[in-house]
Amino acid sequence: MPVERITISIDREFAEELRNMANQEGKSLSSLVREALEEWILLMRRKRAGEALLSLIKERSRVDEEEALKTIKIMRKKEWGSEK
Amino acid sequence: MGKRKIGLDTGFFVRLLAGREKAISVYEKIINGEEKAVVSVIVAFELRRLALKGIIDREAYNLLENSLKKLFEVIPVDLEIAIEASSVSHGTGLHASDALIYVSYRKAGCSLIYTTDEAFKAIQSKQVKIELI
Repeated sequence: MPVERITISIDREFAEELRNMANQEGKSLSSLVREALEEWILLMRRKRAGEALLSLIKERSRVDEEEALKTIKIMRKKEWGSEK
Repeated sequence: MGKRKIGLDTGFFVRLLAGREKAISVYEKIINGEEKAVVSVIVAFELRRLALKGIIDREAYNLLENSLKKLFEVIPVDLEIAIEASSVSHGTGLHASDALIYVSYRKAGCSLIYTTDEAFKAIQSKQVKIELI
């Protein structure tokens, strides 16, 4: 994946803490910040995708619950049935 | 210590889409990164069948399908899973789909499976707890 260099400004106190953390983990400051930001972006993507569905569900039920459970049983029992 | 992994059966999504409190609370933990969840391709298959039959609302299903890979670790059925599931199904009388889902989740390292299918109770073990939702 192509990478891009970006510059950020951060409080000196936090920068010092990040440097210490990077030293402890044996990583460069750049790697530590990059990994943390990438993890944060993935979490944000997951939250955004998950919350869209959640808001629909909270409005009203999105399934005929009884029919769904009955249909799952039929699919599993009749279509994939075992001998026992 | 790493986060525990949870296996989600099709019934979990039915409860979630119905707005059941317990399922919503589990789902919120997953989207907030507090829990890791695993979904078998068999579950994805069953959910789409329910949507095609009109049992699941189309808009909600589309959102769920588009976010499956972002929200969950999706597990395919490979040769190892198929062979092990065959033994589980033969030994316990569990339906093929249940056995494939169970073995997929056990191999993925799940310590808990949420399901509505009581048949899973028969295969509860120390490593994998089954919780009816």
